[in-house]
Amino acid sequence: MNTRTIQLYPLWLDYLLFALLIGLFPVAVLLSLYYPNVILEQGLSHRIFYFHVSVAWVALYAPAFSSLFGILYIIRRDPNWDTLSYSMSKLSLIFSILVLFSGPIWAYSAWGTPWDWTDARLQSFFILVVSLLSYFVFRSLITDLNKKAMYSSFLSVLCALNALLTWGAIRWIENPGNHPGSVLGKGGMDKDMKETFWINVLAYHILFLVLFLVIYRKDKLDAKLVQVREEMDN
Amino acid sequence: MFKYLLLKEFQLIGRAKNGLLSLISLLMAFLFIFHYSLENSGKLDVNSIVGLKWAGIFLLAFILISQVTYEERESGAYRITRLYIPSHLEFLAKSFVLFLLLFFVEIFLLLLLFLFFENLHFESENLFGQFLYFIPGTLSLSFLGVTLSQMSFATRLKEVVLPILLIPLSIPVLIAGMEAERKYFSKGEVNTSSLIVLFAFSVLYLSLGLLLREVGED
Repeated sequence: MNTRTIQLYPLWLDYLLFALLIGLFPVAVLLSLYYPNVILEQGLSHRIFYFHVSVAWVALYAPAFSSLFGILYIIRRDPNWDTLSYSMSKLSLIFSILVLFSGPIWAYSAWGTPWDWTDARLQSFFILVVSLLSYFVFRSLITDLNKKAMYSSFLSVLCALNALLTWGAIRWIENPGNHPGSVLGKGGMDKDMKETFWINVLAYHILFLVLFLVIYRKDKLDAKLVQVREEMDN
Repeated sequence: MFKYLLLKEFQLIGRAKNGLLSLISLLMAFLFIFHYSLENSGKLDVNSIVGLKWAGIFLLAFILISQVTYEERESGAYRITRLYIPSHLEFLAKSFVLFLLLFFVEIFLLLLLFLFFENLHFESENLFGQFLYFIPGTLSLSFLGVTLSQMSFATRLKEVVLPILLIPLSIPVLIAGMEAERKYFSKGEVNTSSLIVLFAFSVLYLSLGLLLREVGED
């Protein structure tokens, strides 16, 4: 039996991450609700911006990590890399769905419509979610464990391509839609907004790391269980 | 060997000839609906026609790849070929034949577009713009389609899974193709970077497909 595991980092970092999450996350949420001034045209609902953008960042680069782990699986053939890639894909799906829910709430107050069918960023994000869903549907339909890991790794690379396209949708494509450009590119945020924004970005990244650890460990246990069952069957 | 492989692929497509005819009928119906419902009430602009063309290309690629995959599985050709033929040769032959066939049906698609939509003038510049981008686009879709059809073989549902994979994962090619043509028609000059992007997609899907054949063997 393969008993080797990928040790990501020492155990004390777990405690540090959990402590940071418990300390920082409520502060970030409260700050976004009460600290920065309200943008008059959009009203209170613009405060969802601090959630929406932070979550979207994670949703966009999680597929890149997933594909990186997938490529490492193709090179090394160590099932742990596949488990890492699988866990990262789960997280990217969760965060992408959160973006799809929070976006229309903000859009309804800002643009007067929850969804803009002419907007390249919105369409590409939707496609990213569909491609992530197809990754999971495909994975669930393969019984051979080696093929499941190998083909999933390839699919994770293709999903990362869709994430790249989503990132570039407001940069490379002439967009007739309403979605604003890059937050960083503008440089026009007030000081209170900027502070709240970066604290939220940090908080959601820590949440992402904590969730990743929880999901990865659960997936690793599941993978071991399947492996033990297979060996007992044989 | 490559010649025999090509013959085999053509024979497989020959088995799906009824499907090919239905493909052409479907294409005509698809364009006629747009012509009847939109062109009559107000002329479609070039951007919309370009979008329609790429939607047509996707539809053609999707149906053709599904049909050939089905025929290959039903005839047992998939397993037999893989026993005796190097996998990369089989991948290249299949992609090449798919590309050729898609290319010919797409010429038909173009003719229909010129016939149905007034804003697309039958001029050499227009023709050049259309061909320039849909060749690398079709090449990308062929490589991607063959790669995904191999993946679908590994699942319990076989080629039924193909649309779930092909629809979301071919979108980057379609968007790149549409964006390239939109730039060409608005500025009237070839956008080299768009062309490079489309060829980069072809190379990427070709490499992924070859790699998958190499490492995904039984």
